[in-house]
Amino acid sequence: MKKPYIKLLGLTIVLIAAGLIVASLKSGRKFKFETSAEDLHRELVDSRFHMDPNTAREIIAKKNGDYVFIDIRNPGEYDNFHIEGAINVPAQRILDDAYIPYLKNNKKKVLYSNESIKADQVRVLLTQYGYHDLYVLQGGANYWKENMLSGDVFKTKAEYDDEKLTFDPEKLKKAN
Amino acid sequence: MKIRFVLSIVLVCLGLVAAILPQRQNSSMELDAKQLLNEIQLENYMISVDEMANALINNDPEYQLIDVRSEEAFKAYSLPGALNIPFEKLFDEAWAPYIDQVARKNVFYSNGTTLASEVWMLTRQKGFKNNYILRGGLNNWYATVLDPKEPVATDGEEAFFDYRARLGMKQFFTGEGTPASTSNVKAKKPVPRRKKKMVAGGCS
Repeated sequence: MKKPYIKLLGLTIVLIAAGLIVASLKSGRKFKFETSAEDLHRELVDSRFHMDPNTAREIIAKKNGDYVFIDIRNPGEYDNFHIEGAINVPAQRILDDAYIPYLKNNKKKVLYSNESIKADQVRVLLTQYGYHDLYVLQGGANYWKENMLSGDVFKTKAEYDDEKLTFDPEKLKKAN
Repeated sequence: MKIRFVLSIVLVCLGLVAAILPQRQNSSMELDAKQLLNEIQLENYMISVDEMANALINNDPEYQLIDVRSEEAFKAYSLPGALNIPFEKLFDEAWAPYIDQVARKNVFYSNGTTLASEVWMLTRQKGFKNNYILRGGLNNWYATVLDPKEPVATDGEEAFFDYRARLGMKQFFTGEGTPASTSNVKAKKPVPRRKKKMVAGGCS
């Protein structure tokens, strides 16, 4: 009589423990970062995953199917203006299950926001989360609207670099 | 024998549970992707150049500027009191006490905003607190503090008030001109400046 009782007790405890382990793994894993900060840092030292507006415009003009442009602004902004062929995935909902097929595929995904900062942050976030082949359109929709809608697609040189120093530090030193 | 066997399994399981439960509590310190996504939207990790200029003028010890550009760029020009942690060396052991601390507000800056923002994203992934970004970086610093543009009449009184304040900042940081003599702005009565909201902590 005694032995089956202990066996049952043991089995129950084992099951509860297993359940707890599974539950803790599942609840913690849902939005866990897949790429460590150190790995991502090394990746960013090698390449910044930026795309200049001119390259982007050539891709669109050639209808290069390897790329997809993703507008991460809100639907109102997207309806108002978006880059030809771009799809809309609002930043605040980008981790929703519904958008997984748009982010987890073999295409090169080019993110853009109004400027470049938000898209860059979302790109870093998605890479931390384990997605790949993500790029950031430099200058975003604002620069595009002002500079990319006219001129020869393959001749005009459009450059945008947020990290380019716009003043001369030497002149500043002389002034002092 | 069987009882011992069952007991040992029970002990092992309890040990496993004990090992996992505290880990879950600690993990609240670290962020997951969803939490970081929410933080990105809040933008309370951005420090304006005006706020930073005032902090430097007042010698506020709470702020620690961190220049994340290369050593050469840092040598060519840097902000007063800034520490240079080049992007490549962010996770070097030597810098850990500076980027993972609770005593001061670290303000990362680069030429623009992108590089500083990437540094911020990486430190937030690690769960480090008290890190901020100088909005617009050195380019914005130059345009706003070192070379402020005079507003036009349609800009409103607050723009003129800001302009006069920035001329004062310019004088402080460059030693050029005096705000009174270089300014021919007639702002009749300065509108009381909206009280600046204190920047909330990087992590709740």
